[in-house]
This record gives sequence, C-alpha cells and structure tokens, in this order.
Amino acid sequence: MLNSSQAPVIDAKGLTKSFGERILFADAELRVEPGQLVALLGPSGAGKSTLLNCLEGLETIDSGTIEIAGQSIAALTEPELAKLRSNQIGTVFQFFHLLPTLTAFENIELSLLLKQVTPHERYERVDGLMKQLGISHRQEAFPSELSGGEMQRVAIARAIVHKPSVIFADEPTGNLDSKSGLEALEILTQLCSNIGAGMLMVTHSETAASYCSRKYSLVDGSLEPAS
Amino acid sequence: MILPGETKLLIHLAQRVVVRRWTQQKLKTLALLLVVALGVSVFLSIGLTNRAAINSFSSFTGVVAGESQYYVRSTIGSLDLADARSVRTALIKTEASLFPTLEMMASVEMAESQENYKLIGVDFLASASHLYRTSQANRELQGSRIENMGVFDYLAQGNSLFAPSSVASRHQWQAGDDILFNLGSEQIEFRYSGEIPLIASDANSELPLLVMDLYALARLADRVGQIDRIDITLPSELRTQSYLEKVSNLLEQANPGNWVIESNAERIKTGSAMTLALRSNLRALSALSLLIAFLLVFQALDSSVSQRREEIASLRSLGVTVRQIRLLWLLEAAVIGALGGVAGIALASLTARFFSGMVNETVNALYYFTADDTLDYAYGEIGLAWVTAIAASILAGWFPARAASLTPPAQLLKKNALLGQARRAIFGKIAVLTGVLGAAAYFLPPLPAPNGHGAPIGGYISALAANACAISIGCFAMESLPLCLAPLARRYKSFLIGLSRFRKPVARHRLALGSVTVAVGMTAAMVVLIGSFEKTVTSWLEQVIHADVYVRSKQSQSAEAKNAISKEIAQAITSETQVEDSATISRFSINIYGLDTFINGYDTDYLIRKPHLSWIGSPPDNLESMKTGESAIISESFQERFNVGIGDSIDISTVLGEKTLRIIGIQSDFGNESGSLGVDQIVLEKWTARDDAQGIALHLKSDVDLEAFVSDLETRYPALEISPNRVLKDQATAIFHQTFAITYALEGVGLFISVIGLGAMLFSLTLERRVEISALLRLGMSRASLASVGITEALALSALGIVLGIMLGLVQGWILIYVVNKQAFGWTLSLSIPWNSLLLLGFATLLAGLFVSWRISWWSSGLPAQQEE
Repeated sequence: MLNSSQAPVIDAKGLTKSFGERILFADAELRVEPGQLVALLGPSGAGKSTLLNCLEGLETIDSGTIEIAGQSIAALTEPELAKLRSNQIGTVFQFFHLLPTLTAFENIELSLLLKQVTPHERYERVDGLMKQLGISHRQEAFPSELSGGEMQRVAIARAIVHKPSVIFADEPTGNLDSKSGLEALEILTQLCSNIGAGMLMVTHSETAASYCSRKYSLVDGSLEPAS
Repeated sequence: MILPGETKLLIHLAQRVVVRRWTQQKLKTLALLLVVALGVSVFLSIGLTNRAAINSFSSFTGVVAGESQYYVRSTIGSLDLADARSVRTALIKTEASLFPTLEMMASVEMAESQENYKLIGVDFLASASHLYRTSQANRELQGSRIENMGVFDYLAQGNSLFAPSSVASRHQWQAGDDILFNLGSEQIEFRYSGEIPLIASDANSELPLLVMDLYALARLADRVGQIDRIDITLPSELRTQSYLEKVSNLLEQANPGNWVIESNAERIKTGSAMTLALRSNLRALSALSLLIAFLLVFQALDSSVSQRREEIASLRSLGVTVRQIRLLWLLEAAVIGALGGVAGIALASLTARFFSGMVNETVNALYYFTADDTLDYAYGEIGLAWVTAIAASILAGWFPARAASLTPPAQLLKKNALLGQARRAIFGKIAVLTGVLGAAAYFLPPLPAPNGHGAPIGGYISALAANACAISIGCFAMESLPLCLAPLARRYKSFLIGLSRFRKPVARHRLALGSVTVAVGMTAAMVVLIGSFEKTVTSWLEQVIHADVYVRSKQSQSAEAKNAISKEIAQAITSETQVEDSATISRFSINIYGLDTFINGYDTDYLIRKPHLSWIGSPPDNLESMKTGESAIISESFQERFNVGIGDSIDISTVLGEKTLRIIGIQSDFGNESGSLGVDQIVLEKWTARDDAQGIALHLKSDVDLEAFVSDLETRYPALEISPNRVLKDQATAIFHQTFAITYALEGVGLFISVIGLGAMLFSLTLERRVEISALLRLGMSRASLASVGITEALALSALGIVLGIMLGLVQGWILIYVVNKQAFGWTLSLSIPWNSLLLLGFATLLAGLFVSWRISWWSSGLPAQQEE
C-alpha cells in the first residue's frame, strides 16, 4: 500500500545549522519519497542526530525549509508539531527507549493513544502487529524482561503501528548483535513497504545502508549523496 | 569504621564525587540544606522555648536576691509574719539570709492595650544587708548605688517603685514620675524612682519586672502581714551538701505543716512539671517536622544513588570496596546533617523568638506569668539539635548508602533496570505488624509523671506505629494505583504513562508519599483534636458562663493574677441596686501531697440556687455539706492527677491545720490541667486568712440596661475588667485559640516541608527521565501532555498521601483525645470530626501539590531533547 500523497515525505532545502563557530551542516538538501528507504551515513559527531532532530522539529535550524508529508514545519506551533509527529512520523531509537513502566503492549499502544484511536481498534492493531512480529506472547512483559531483539521489535512496532508517512530510525541496529540486527532491518523495511512509508535511517553500518535505495553522507558540514 | 590508609582515598573520593556534584548542583544542594535547616530550627526553637518556659518560672526570683538555695511558701494562700519569725528562729544559728517576698501582678494602661508586670515586694533592708556582706565587689557596687540613689529615703515615701532600665526607657519614665498602675481592684499611683537597686544580677534586666519595698507594697495592696514566699540564701562558701542538708532539716523540723519547702532544683521542677504536658506535645510535634525533613534527606541521597549508579558501578569495577562506597554516602549524609544543622541553629535565632512568643502567650494564659526575654541559647539544646541533625541524617542516609554499595559493577548494569525497588509484600507485613503494635500500645497504662498526671507513653507509641502503618499501607497500595485508575489510563495517555510509574515505584515515590502522609496526618489529627476541643469547651463555656456580667481584675489574662478584688469592692459591686443575684469566687494555689493545684472557694448557696457547673455523672445532691468544711467537689483533671473519686477523702494543710475533705462531685474544667478542688468560700476564707476574690458573677434585674450598667462600673472601677456574658465567652474562646496558635505554625512547617518533598521527588525523577521525555516528544507528545504526565504522577501520589493522611489523622485524633489528653491533661473531650476542615486541608494540600508539580513538569517538558549516545 502506497502513501496516498505523492509529495515527498521529507523535503528539506538549504538547511544550515551551526553551534557558535562550528557549522554542523550548510545548505543541505534532503528528499525522501513515499516508500523510499534512505540512509544517512557519517562519522560520529558529524551532526547526523542533530539533523534528525531538526527534521523532526525538535531543534531549530538557522536557515532553510523543511516539509514533512507536504507540510512545512516552520510555521507550526508546538502542539501542531506534536500532532504532526504523532500522525506522520514514527521513530526507532538505537537504545529502544521503551517506557520501563509500560508493558510491551502498552508501549506499542501509546502511539495509537496519541492519535486518539478507539480502544477496540487499538487492541486489534497492536495485537495484530505483535502477532506479525512474533512477540504476541510477550504482551504483558515489561521492557526489563525483554531481550534486546524483542525490545527492538516492540520499538519498531511502536514506530509503525499508527501508519506514519515517514520513519526516522536512529542507528536501529546499533545496540543489537548481527543476527538480531538483520532481523530488525528485515522487519523494518518490510513494514515500511507494507504501509508505503518513507524511511530515513541514520547508520554506521554498511549492511544496514545496503537495504536503502538512496544514501546521503554527512561529512564536515556537507550533506552529499553517497554511492 | 575507617581503616588505616583509607582516609586519603575517602577524602579523595569525597572531593571528586560528592563535593563536585554539590558544586555542579548548587541550587539543589542549597535547597536540601535549607529543608534540613528548617526542620532543625523548628526542633531547636521548641527546645529553647520549652527551656525558656521552665526558666521563666523562676527567673523573676533570682533578680533581686540572687539564686537562693531554699524557698518556703504556704501550702495554701500566703504565709504571715509569724511564719517569717518561725523560719528566722529555725535558722538563727546558721548563716542563712532570709528574703520575705510578696509577688503580685500590676498592669499599666497603654494606648490600645495594657502591659502586665510582675510586681515584687522585697525587704530592702534585708537585701541591702545580704548584698553588702556577700563580697567586696558587691559592697562597692551596692554601696555606691545605695548612696547615689538614696534608697532608704524612698522607704519613707511609701510608693517608690523601681524598674529595669529597659522597661523605664520603653515607657520613657524619668525618676520622680508618678505612674498609674492597676493593682488588684484599684488604680494606684506609684513613683518611679529609678533602676532596681540592690540587684544581684543584671542578667535578667530585660524582664517585665517592677520592684518595691515589701512593706510599702503590703500596705498599698492591703496585704499587710502577708508574705508569698521566703527566699533563703546561703553564702557561697557554705553551699556544701552537709550544710544544705542541715538547713533543710532545720526547716523541716520547724514546719508547722502548712509550709512547702523547696530547694532551687525542686522549684524549677515544680515549674517544669506544670508545663510538662504542653511541652511534651510541642516536642512531639516538632520532632515530626524534623522527621519529615529527614525523609527528604533520605530522598535526596537516594536520588544521588540513582543518578550516579553508573559512576558507582565504575568505581566498584576499579576496586573501590562495598564498605568504602557505603562510607562515602554516610559521610555525605553526615555532612548534610552537620551543615544543615548549623544553618538550622542560625535560623533558630529567628524562629525561636517567633515560637517563644506563642508559647509564652499560652504559658501566661494557662500556667504562670512569663516573658519572651527568658529565651537563652543554651549550649545543651543547641548541641542536642546539632547531634540529632547529624544522627538523623546518617540514619536517613543508611538505606541509600546500602543501595549504593550494593550497586553491581558496570558490566552487570542493564538498561531499563529500575533501582530502589522493594518487594511489595514487605510493606504489607510492616503494615500489619505496626498496626498490631499500635493497637496494643493504645491500651498501655501511662507512666508516672512528675506533674501527677501520666506520661502517655502508650499513646505516643500508638501514634508513631499508626504513622508507620499508614506509610506502609501507602507503599503497599501505591502499586495498585494503575489498576484502580485503569479506566482513566486506558483513555488518556498522561494517565497511562503517569500512573504506570507506580507499577515499579522507586524509594523516592515512597518517601514523598510518606512525608505527605505524615504531614497531612499530623495536621488532620490536630484538626480533629482542636475541633473536638472547641466543641467541648464551647459547650462547657455556654454552661458555666451563665451570669449577665463578670468582674475580674485587669491582670486576669495572666494565670498568675489571682484574688485581686478586695472584699470591700466586691461587696460594693454586688450590692448595686441593678443586681438581682450575684456570687464571688476565690481561687488560691494549694499544694497537696507535694503537687501544686488550685482550690476554689464557691458560694455554696449560689451553686444550689443557680446550678451552672458541668458535672461528670450525676450532680451531687448534698452540696449543702460543703458549708461545714467536710466535703468538696473536684475537677476531672484533679481526679486523674490525684487518683481520687466520689466518696474518697483528701487531706489538705491549712492555716488552721490539717483538714480532711470528702469528695462529693466531679466537674468538667478545661481551664488548667493542674485541676481544682472546690470548697465553700466562707470556709476557705478561714483556711487561708484571705478574703479577696478572683471574680464576681452578676445577674441583673430584667429591666437593667446592660451596656449602661457595664459602662458605669468601668468608670467607677477603672482597675477592673467588666465583661458582659458574650464578651467573656469570646475572650475565653480567643485564649483557647491562642493556646493552639503554635500547633498551627508547626503544622504549617510540616506541610510546607512535605510539599517540598513532593517537588523534590518529581524534580529528581524528571532529571533522570530526560531521555524518556525526549523519546516521548519524538513519539508526538506535546509539551502540555508531557507536563500532564508529571502532574498526574504527583497528584496521584498526593491524593493517596492525603487520603491516607486524613485516615491517619482520624486515628491519631482518636489517640490524642482518648489516650494522650486523658492521661496527660486529665480531661475528657467529646470526639467531633470537622469534615469541612479536613476536606479543606486535603484540597489545599492537593492544590499545593498541583502547583509544585505543574511548575516542575512544565519546566522539565521544555528541557532540550536528550539522547543516550
């Protein structure tokens, strides 16, 4: 299923961000189409996470424009930005960042609760997705009781369950062994494809990047397409 | 115990780990020290205030004569000159100096109020003689004073009065000024003649004290031949154990039976015993404030363990031992206690004056005349407060120190691990155990106390156990909050996340809940006690204050002003043509079986004619028998204190010898926990050789204009307080509220600290959850929603604490009314639960919690996004 809107899910132009004298990126251009998987590569400290923060509207940019699912984020108020994130964006973190006091089910359900989906539909969607990911037997488990692979599946489910237009994945395999990492990538790309969501994945891993059709590299403040 | 060679490492670690963290989190450290300081200052202030209350009982005594070794007073009423002669005769072969003294209350009218002073009549000749021979220094000092002031010239004037310079300068009195004082039922002009001469010490020169010659005062106050007390002083070189015993034995041998002979220590004990119950209760309340403050120290140290667990684990991996980690945390706790304690001691110099003022008002109204100026910063009290602060802080730091030392090395650390969790079942067990302990302690008999009442040790244990039980129930119930509020959690994201935090609560949740529960419990208990007291006392006042007009001396606001209306004036007032019926009441201190209490002289016919006393059980049907001096009525406090009841007999010493009284009735009397014995007034006149009265009750004829009558009496008797029925009731109610003023202040401090605790919990947990907050922002939560998560968490905790606190308050209120008050004060109160006040308390605490949590949550929701790298 493809995203109904054919506009790019991420369309960033002329992005510049600096901290004092240090320019993190200047005049950066980045575009992710619906259903497209894009990798963002670069050494540690290059500013990849900051770029991700800027694209999600969590940090301000010095200049440039950002559109997410056809919507410019510059003009949005804080509640509107929050709404955009809960409706159009899904995020997968390196360290999962599951809420330790919520069960696996509730962690996934949270994305639907933020979107004000009815309880019945919430149950159906979360239950279905957990079955699909092979973790339905862990519904009542707390994060501290899950393995790394299980935690990342829950985190992926949480990012995808509300059918966002775009997924931001920040080193999604960085905290997993290679086998679990590959499984996570398979699941993530499969699910993105199923819902037609674009994905921007920050990674150091060439293997992870190989799943993407397009790559960008952020080096010394310059964001360039990479081969 | 620090092992040799370990000190250097610990100092190094303390500098790098503890001090650096303090300097990095200056505001947080400062806030923690302030909270400890507040708790310590309240505790110390009450300690100093209690001490001042005891000291001020005897502080007026030593000003003129210096510290005396023995005091002789009458078991009832006053001594007379024959007694003075007997004391002199008994001690004729000793080196003792005698100071016969009269003590009265005098007041001077101010613009909108009046000031009360203790007016002491002392034999100037005896004082001069004594001081002149005590030392060379005194000889020079007093000699020059006597010469310069011409003291003995003043004796001839007959109305010369001396005052400390502070008093004189406040009123701008100049030597030679004539000043009008209310003394008893009359206004008398005194001549201010300068600073107090023949003074033994300048230490108490700030006291509200007036001094004049004994015989001049006796003449002016119409008390010629009477003496309130004889102070006996020995030269310093003779104050040996054997000589003191010799003097004591001589006095005991000469005692005709109606003397109370007290050493200086015994005299202080007497004052101490009078206010024992009041002071014990204040001490208990201030200790609760201290307890709440140290729950916060516990919380802060627990927070530092949690925030630094990776650092601790790294230290462990590097070879720092479990014991050294524990010592490091205990050291931090001790330093917090020591620094907070020092700040608390400094703060107490402000707060002690505040609390002292309130306690003094109570002591003044209920026990004896006292003054703010008796507050001295005793090293003992200060040391106790400081050591308590350090000890409590180390105790509060014990569990966090243990948790720190048990933190596993770095490689064992696991993401998402929640530290500081305890098994829920253990709280259930503690709740049951403390509940059983509290119930058992409730029935413990009181321990004997020096004031004759019981020390309600069972009540205090029961209340303490109730606190522990309530906190344990809270810790047990906390984990059920998400389940209980599941419908809300299913519907709202803030509830889902906020409430989910109680599924795996950390120690700080429990500590914050504990401090809210204890503070609300303490306040609710006092609300119940005060409500019950108010209802009982109001209904009692409605019954006993029944006449149209009451007449008292203007010094009657002080419990020490007694029997101030002369018989002539009392007769003149009761004979007014507008008066239909009337009665006088007299009241004296009396010492029975070594305990001070009061004896009231009632007009028996009036008691029969106009029944107004509030009887416990059925009213006596043989009041008439009081007229023969064979029977008496007693108050409930007297019954408890002397362990006597209807049908029992009690022996008293009077100027006419030993008398035995049969008890025929017991009345409620909430005026003073010393209790009272009531006899016929005419009989009492004979037993005391005193015919003055303390108060007059007047019933007016139906056609009399009350206001005009009162106004007329006020004009003719300016030294007297003329109060219509309603005014007197209002005054009595005001005194009642005044006595509880200090408890309101202590409750306020407790609640304030507990709300700070709630804020501190939220603040520290929020800082630890910054990554989680960033993740929630990314998932699409708005700032307002994020803030509402924190508010939900804090409010759910507050609400649980408030509900438990109010339930705890009801239990403690019950214990206070039926155990502590009954045993310590000897009176029965009817339980009354002021639900509106309790709801208001709950609502106000919830609002305070809402405000604090809103501020912190809103602030934290705006923190920059943070990720774990």
